[in-house]
Amino acid sequence: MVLLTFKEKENWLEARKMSMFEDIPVDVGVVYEGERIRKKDMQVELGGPKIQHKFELVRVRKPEEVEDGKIRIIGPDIRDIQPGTSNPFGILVEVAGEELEEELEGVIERRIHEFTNYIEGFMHLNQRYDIWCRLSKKSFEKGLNTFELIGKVMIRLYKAELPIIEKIQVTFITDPAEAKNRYEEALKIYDARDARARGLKDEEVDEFYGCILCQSFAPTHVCVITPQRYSNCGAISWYDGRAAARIDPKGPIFKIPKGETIDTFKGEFSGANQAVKEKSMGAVQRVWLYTAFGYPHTSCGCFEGIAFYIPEVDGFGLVHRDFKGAAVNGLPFSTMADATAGGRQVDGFHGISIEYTRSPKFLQVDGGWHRVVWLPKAFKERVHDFIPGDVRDKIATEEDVKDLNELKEWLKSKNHPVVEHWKEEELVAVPETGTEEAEAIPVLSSIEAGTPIALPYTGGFRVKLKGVKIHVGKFVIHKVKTKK
Amino acid sequence: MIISVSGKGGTGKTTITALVLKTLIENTDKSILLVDADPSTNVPIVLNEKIDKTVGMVASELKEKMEKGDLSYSTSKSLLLEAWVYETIKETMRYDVLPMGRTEGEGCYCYVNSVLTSIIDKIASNYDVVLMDMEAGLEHLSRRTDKDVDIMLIVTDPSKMSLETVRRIKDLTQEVHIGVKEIYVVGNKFPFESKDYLERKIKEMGLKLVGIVPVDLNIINYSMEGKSLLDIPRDSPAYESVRDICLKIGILNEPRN
Repeated sequence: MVLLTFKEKENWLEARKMSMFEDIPVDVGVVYEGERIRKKDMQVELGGPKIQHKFELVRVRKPEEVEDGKIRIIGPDIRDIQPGTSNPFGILVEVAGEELEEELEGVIERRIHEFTNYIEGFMHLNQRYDIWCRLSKKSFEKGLNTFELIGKVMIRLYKAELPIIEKIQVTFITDPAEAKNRYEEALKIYDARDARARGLKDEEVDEFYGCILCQSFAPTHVCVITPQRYSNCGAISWYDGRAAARIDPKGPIFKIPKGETIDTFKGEFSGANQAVKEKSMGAVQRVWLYTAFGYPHTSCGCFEGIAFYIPEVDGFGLVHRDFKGAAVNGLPFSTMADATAGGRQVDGFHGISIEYTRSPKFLQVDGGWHRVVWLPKAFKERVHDFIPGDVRDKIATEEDVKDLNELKEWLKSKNHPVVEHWKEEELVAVPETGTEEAEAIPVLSSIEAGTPIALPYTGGFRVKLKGVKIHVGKFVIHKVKTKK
Repeated sequence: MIISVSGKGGTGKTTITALVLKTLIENTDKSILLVDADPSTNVPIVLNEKIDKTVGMVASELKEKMEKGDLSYSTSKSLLLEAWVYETIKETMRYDVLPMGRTEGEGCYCYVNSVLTSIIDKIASNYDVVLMDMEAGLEHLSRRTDKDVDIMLIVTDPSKMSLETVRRIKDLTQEVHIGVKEIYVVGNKFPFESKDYLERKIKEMGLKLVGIVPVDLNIINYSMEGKSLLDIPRDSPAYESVRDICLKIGILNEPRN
């Protein structure tokens, strides 16, 4: 499906609308997107904060189930609704077409917001069971007094913009009882859709999204957002990325063509490598999405949590920003955040979102949840259902253990999967290091030929040396902004 | 047209904002959005309007839901936030108020702030006049809008500290990326006799004094009783002064767009 950018669409609409909307009594165009109808100026309100039963829904049907171009109204039409009132409201769009699949329902549904907003004097906000529409008195007086006209505009825009739709019919519901029944039906469909969305795999898409909103704090940080790897801040899903990149393709959230898959297991993709290289100005050359070692995803300063390697037990601890005490390694979140942040690739200190720990790809190279040995109780409760059952009770919280010695005993007594590895490593002899050394070891071990070296910094400047094996290619001094 | 009112806390920014609003209401038919961008949210108090929710509160709410995983997986957060921000707008017959408030809690607001900026710009573009009551710092302004400010009024009272703040705000406008077309200084709670002295002081800073607003018993009484400043009598000296200022800086004769 080809999705036009807003600019392209504006041009396209301008060129066509003369002939396309001749029989519509009000103007139709991108310029009305974002038009707000004040309460004083509104003819009717449909849905909105005062109304419980409201929804918009797109369903893909069989061709014989859709009567192309049909518009149905169940309940009073606009002209029969008492002016100034708030009303139950449903919009059901049914489509058919050879290439249409149920998976596309969500994408098609999101366009209702755009298309109805193009109508002069019609305001549409939000989505799904939260829609909020208003029609202005002015447009009502110009003749926009029936849903028939709104349906016509929608149908024409849908067919013109998404040729994949062969047949389309639209139903408007204002009858309170009918709106209630259908609202409850719609909720079930949204739930099923969400469950499916959560199951979307990185392998199934051709595009990821990148985000550089945090570069004011971490100038070399680039978030790579995939269906199975949420942004570090926990705010931007792959779906949010897609929406943002479409509205403003040149903005801070942009499309990353996945390119060639170099390593499915580690999560290395040529497109992601190229994007981080470009957007980090060369500071980061490659990225492995599903590991905290080697070429790990960089960490901004905004991450919701940190996965920190604990050499003493060869496992990972997790800690989130709201956790106030010291983690099991004796360090509070803030101290570890300093070691993690700044857009560097730091082995063993990995900024993550909480949502990422719900993903099957979560640190899959390092063992995922089977390598996690400790996390705060509040964190554990939030993600409880996503921790594999065979390891869930073997992961300690601050209520179970106080320090690394107690943690070791706990892991042994529970026979946590990491204990298996201890035997092999006896030969290597893990020294009883202080926390500061433990922090430094993984950082230094990351130095490899060709890898950019981010030297630890203490004061207000960061010195970055690149290509040190042969010569200094570039010497960059950044003033480091601290985040409030 | 975007008019912003700033100055040190306690100089009477919110009072001046309310009087500019009254001037616009009584002398034009322009649609007006009042943005209360001072985190202490004083505007509703001087207008005697009840505010249930601020933009900061809904942004924090969204943040909290994100962290808890309470949002459905494939819905668009920007659409959700947009609707929630619209809900915070207090609509009256003659003007609307957008209470900014402040965000609570830690964590990353990069995404939320970038979405908020575009939502607020979109809302603002629906009005003939956007009147902003700002806190002294301009960082706030640059974070919240990408639009240029047409007129900035800096309010000062008779104190060294608020005069210093005037100078600081002037310097700040040059540092942040937003453009300000005109800057004027308003002397609040000054006796008329001190005008020449103040004018000289302001001129030394490279700024223009646009008028003086005297201490006004009506303002004091209405404020103490919690009555809306929009209802003070038209012959109140402070209102007359602000109306003169509005005339002088061209807010009233600006053609409708």
